[in-house]
Amino acid sequence: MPHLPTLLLQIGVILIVARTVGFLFRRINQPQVVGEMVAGILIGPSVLGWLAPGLSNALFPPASLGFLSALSQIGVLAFMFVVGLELNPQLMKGRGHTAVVTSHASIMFPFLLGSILALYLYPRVSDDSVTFTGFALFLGIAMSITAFPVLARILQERRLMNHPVGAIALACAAVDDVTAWCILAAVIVIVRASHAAMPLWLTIGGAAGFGLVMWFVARPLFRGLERVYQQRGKMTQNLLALILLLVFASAWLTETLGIHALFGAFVAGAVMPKGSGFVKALTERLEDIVVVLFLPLFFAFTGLRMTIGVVSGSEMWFYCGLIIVVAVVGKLVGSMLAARFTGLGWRESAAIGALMNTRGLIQLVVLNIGLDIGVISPALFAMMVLMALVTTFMTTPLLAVIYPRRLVEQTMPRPVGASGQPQLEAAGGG
Amino acid sequence: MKSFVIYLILVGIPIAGVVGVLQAGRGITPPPYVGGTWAVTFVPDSTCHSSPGAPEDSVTSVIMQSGSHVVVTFANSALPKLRGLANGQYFRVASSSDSVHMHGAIKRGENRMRGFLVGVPCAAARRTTFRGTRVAPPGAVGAH
Repeated sequence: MPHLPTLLLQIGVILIVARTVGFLFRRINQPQVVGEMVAGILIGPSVLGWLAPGLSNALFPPASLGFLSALSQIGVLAFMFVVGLELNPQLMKGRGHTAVVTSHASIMFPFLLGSILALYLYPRVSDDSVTFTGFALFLGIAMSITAFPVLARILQERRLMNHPVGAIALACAAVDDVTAWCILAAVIVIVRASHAAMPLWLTIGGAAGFGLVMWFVARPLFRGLERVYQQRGKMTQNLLALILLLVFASAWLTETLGIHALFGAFVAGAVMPKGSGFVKALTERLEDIVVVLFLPLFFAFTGLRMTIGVVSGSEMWFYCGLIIVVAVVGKLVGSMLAARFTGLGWRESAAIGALMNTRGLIQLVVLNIGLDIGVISPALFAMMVLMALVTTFMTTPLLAVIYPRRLVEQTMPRPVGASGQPQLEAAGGG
Repeated sequence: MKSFVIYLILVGIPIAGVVGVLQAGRGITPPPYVGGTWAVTFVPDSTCHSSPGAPEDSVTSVIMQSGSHVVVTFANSALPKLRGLANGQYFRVASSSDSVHMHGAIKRGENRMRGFLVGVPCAAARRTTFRGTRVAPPGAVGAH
């Protein structure tokens, strides 16, 4: 049983620190979510545990963290479902070619650089419990992530949502999300294959079966629920309960198959029928509680798992710097060159590169999976959390230099009516 | 056709590169795995048993490994954080003041270790031997 006073105190402290640091980051033109990510690290052993170990141990005794972990995992499941909900095929309209080429190139280029980096890092920060293939593939995919929700929030804040650059970046990020999660699912299966209870063929066959079930069974079922919503004119509690039940069933299925629960939640959101008010109503019901309560818990839990002290000595900090440089070069330059190849100007391509370099909390989700399945060491986890922070933090100032506000206003196309507007509600703090 | 060529250059070549890297990396040998959460049982000298500062009979120890770098922490114990290097099946870690040393040996692929601790009160001149059993991999909840 959880010690309720401890858990409530932990949640209270986490919320206060997350909101305060988030507010301070907004004052320096950063998305609130970056501040909340930093708040998680401040609460953990890297800062609070170092400055006041007694207080840290009293607030977050190791035995109590299981409950915080469970809450944060439920929260991330709900968040991944919301991310899936926000994927709108309309975003691809008229820019499918540019989006697919740019997105796939922006995944594969950093993926290649990440796997080359693995040749150097594997004997230095890993051990023989992890195969080189698993390590290299995971490092590759961790370098390739773009945080779709954070990107949407930055575009909203910079009023780039209806600008061609913003619209292309958003479409690329949407394709990126789907592709990266599919690759990640495959990487998890490969990594787990050596010590999984389930045979590999069953996992692969099960994953294919899961995809078919989601498309041919769950999707029509969700359409039926959408019709119920339209008849009732509101999102009833029974309807919400049924949807959540299906989401958790999907998550349970992918976890049981040896992929990951988050993949199931994401796919459940992605196959939801888009275009009516159904998804919007559902997002509104879930988003506030996920963004305000559960995500800060996830950031805090991530911070509590991260010990910056294990990155010690000039050698380790060199690896950390190398990871950041490779991540930025891979994602920013890769996306920029791909966008340029598809016919965009240099400045627009550079802006897309800067936007696609945003890794945000999706990267934290991926890194936590990596630590859970043992493919990355605690030190590499800490280094890559720092990389996620740096790449997310640099997006806004870099974009301001590459594509300043006056240029946005000069190049903003005239409104073309509601049907031509990208329909995306950015996940609040996500 | 032009789109296909662009796609092939931007996506196909990196995929081929990744395949090449995976082939090239197969021969790399990383350090053996010593990390995880360990249940450690000390076998103290009978005269040390209740001395202040002597290690408890059994403690939970978390070994965080990154390559050959190792950090050892002890939960609910007065023992300090120890850092050091793993070399093959052996590891040697020490406190920041270098007053406490821990030497351990883990058999490759096994979840057991044995070794000795030097420098704790009452055992300054002697060795406090220990045995350990791995109970969880690194990164497990509460393993900070």
